[in-house]
Amino acid sequence: MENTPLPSQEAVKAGPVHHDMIYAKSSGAGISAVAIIRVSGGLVTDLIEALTRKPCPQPRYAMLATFYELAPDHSSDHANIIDRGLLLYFAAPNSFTGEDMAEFHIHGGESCQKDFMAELAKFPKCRPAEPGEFTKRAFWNGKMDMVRVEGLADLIHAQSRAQRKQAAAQSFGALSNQCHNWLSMLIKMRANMEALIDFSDEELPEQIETQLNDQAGALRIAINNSIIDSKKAVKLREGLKLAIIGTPNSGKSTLLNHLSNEKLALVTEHAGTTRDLIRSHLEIAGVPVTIIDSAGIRTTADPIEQQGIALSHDLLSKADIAIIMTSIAESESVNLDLGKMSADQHQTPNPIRVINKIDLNPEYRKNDQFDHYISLVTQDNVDGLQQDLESRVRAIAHIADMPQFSRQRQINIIQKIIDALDGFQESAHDDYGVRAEYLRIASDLMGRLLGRIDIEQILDKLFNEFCIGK
Amino acid sequence: MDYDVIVIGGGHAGCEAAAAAARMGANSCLITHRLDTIGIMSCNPAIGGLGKGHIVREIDALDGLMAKAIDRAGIQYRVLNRSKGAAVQGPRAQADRDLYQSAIYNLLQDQPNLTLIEASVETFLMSADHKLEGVITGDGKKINAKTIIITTGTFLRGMMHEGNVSTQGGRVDDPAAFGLSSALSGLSLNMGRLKTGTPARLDARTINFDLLQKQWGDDDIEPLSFMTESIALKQICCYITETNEATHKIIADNLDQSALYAGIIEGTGPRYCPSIEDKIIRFADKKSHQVFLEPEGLNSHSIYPNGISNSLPQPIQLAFLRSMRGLEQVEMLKPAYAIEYDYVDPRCLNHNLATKNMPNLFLAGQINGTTGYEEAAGQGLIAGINAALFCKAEAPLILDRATAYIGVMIDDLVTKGVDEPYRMFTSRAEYRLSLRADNADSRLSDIGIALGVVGDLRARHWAACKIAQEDAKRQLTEIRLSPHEWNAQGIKVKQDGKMRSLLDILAITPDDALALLFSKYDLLHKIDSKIFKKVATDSKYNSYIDRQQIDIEAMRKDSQLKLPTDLDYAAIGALSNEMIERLNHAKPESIGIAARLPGITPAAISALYRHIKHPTMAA
Repeated sequence: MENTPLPSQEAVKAGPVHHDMIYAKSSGAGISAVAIIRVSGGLVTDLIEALTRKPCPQPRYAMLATFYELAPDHSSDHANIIDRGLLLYFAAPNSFTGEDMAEFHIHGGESCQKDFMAELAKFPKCRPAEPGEFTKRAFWNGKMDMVRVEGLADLIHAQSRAQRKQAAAQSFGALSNQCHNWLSMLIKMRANMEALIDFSDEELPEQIETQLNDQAGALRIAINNSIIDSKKAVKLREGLKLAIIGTPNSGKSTLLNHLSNEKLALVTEHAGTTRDLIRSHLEIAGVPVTIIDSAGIRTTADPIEQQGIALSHDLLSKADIAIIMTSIAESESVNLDLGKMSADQHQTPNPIRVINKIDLNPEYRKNDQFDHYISLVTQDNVDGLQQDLESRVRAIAHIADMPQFSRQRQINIIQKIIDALDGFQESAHDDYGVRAEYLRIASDLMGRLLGRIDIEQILDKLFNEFCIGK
Repeated sequence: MDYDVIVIGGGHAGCEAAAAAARMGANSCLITHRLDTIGIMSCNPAIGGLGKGHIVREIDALDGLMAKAIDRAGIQYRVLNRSKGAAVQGPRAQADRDLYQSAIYNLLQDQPNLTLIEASVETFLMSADHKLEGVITGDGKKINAKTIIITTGTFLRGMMHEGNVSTQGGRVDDPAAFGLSSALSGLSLNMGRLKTGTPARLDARTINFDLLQKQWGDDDIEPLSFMTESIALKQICCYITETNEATHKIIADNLDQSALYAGIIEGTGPRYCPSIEDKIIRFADKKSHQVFLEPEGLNSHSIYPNGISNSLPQPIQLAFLRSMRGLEQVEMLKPAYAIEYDYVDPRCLNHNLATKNMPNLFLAGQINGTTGYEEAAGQGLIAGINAALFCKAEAPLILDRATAYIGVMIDDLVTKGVDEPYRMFTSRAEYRLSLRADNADSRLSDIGIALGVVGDLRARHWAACKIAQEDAKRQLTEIRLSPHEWNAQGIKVKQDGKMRSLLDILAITPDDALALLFSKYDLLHKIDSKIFKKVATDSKYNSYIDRQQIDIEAMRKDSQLKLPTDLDYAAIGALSNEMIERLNHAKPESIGIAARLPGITPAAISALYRHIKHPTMAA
């Protein structure tokens, strides 16, 4: 039986897009040994030939080439050389963007980079890329789904080891592949459900309905596993906030300096030196942590210091972990105030009570009021504090090997998919229309997760997060 | 001008088209080559079913013919999927073929503004500036009209196959329409070729029914028309037999003689209504297929064996038939055959079913690549209404995907085209929970009354029905109890402190648990049973429908975002060549339609959104 397709039904050949060519430096900012410039779209091969005055190399083979100015004057080749470097050509659709692309590895000097890009700008219809435009084109050409795009955005911005691992899982597969598997499972389940509705039972395998129920149950468990640790995954993606708060001159800034190995805060022996919040970023147990040092809390007449103290109070409520510090030099009454303040007023979720300057009175540790009795001068028990900090960070943001969704958008959709699967299981089993509706909702949502539906606002927000050329 | 509307073809599409145009007040005529075949059921003797029953109810809500006719001819009624929930139930009725045909004929004869003409149409009357002005019949007569609706079914270059014997024709004993086919080719419409088939007709007197399982209809008959109170005709039963390994062997051994498998037939057949050759080849592990033996009428000896259409030579047909239980001595009244025919790529049409080239030429039915009486009739109805609206220079009637199965079907046809004969399934409707067979009148009758396509009788009937429904709803809402009080009555309700009305309780009560409520509330006995069922079903689906409303509004908003028909998609940027080519070919009228085109990615749709909102911005 031969199908006689109408002319319009013949498969339309996919091909590269011939609109603007875009270029951007895709290696880091500043001067470097090598700089990589990427070009995508349009007549990339023409550009290569014009720059090298040689035929375009085979796709995916590196070529060492001299790059010439595009000026039509060929009289003195030597005078027109911009640089010499490596060149790679990627033919559509087998490239990052799905378009024809080229990578130029040139010398990373300021002038080399500047001149090379100025030359590109002279080429017809070639312009600098907007932020995120390479990824945008990859998305438009079906090279990436939303989960991957979001993963890539996180990967580029990843500051810490664990963050990078999580983002890579999203960007290079695990999570995205899982979503595609779930989507195809849902589509298959929908097909079976529709078969039960539109065809008579005699025509269908007997087990089909039981299978459907089993599949829905298994799918629910699998999908739920992907958000079971999502609170931690979100924390990991966003990073933690550690507040250091306490009585004036108790050594908060010294501790901060110790943790970050940098002299960030100005340390003097006078109480009230730190009036602003000082932020410092570091990695604890693979998780990025922002440390916020603050003005000491005490009753003061100085209005500027008062403001600083107000900020400290506010900080406590927002921090994931708070180190509440006092020192042996302070009076007993202040210590008691401190304990009251943290417990009653601010409900710090994760307080670590520390008393410093234990070297001044080694006997003091008999008092059980504090978690750690340290001396930043003698380094006494500072390791213990650091270990405690690490284990608390792990508890908040460290996730198991299972890939987890880490963006609120993703988690919300996954939660709705789980609700729909629950609806499927819980609705009256003799109302096929309603059951099929729940499966439709679930598969539509999964499509939305992968970026199939109403994605415009997310796209704009997301593509703005990209560095140019990445 | 002789007529406002000429309808060519007297099948299910043509009859609905002509009657609808006439009801709209257009001066209409129906031209068919044989008046005595008007409304004939060329294939199976049944109307309705899954998806199809929905269409029949929609036609009825717009005062069309099909449901009224079947209720004058129905000899077995069954609601399919009865145990699977109201949203997916499809009413169906077995027809007495002769009674159905005469019911249609009588309805047409009684229709004011409608003339029936027996003639063949040879070609079109074109003006000097290439405008369609009418038709020229086989005897050379010129008939002028403002609009023409073509509903010629399988008759365009129809070719029937029975083994290696191929005959030109649109149906057994009926000539094909070759003149019209070539006239259509002159209008630069894209044509394709499809095939379908029909099984043999068996002589009831040669079947041993005693050996066969009986299948009766429902005791509680649900008529197809909202207007029908009861069915007067005697009800009959159908019989079930099945193929066996011997049957399969006979067919497999003779495949080389099947027109389908010997490569004589080029057109694409429907996957969901396969020939018996197809079933045996594609599902080789299945040792038996059910065959339903459906009587074709109360006084007829003809039996329609449902499920064994084929294109084998007659002796082979007889041999495999006789291998089945009960059919050992069977004789054929007519052999099975496959038919190939031309169809017009429905993407040549606008949503009002007029061709894009000629705004006064409408196409409806099998010519657009569909299969089935109901699908044809639904299109005929819409083409008839729109031809009449065109004559009055009024805006066309376009039912959207959230309003009617007919809307889903037409949208599918004109946006996606077909690659096999198109049949309605309930799964084609995204908003299935709102598009139910039971609420077609609520969805469509008011639209029909506003258009003028619904007659006085039905308008009054629907008005009364609406009042009764509102009344019942009000009474059922007035009884409100707390969870504690409901539980005290033996009705299990969540203890959440929420007051619930009797209507709310009906929404969560399965049909088989209604008895308790009926025993407690006299009111339920006082409400007319039909009205009660409608109100209770509405209440059951309301929460889901509310949820779908968001999707529906988004869909409607997208169809408001018009795309210029002269838009050059290559100039938009951010579209891949594949998208550009598909969009330039389809020239979708709106973003909503573009999103439903096959192969169009969501990314392409967002690019179109951006283009519409900021046409000057580069992607």
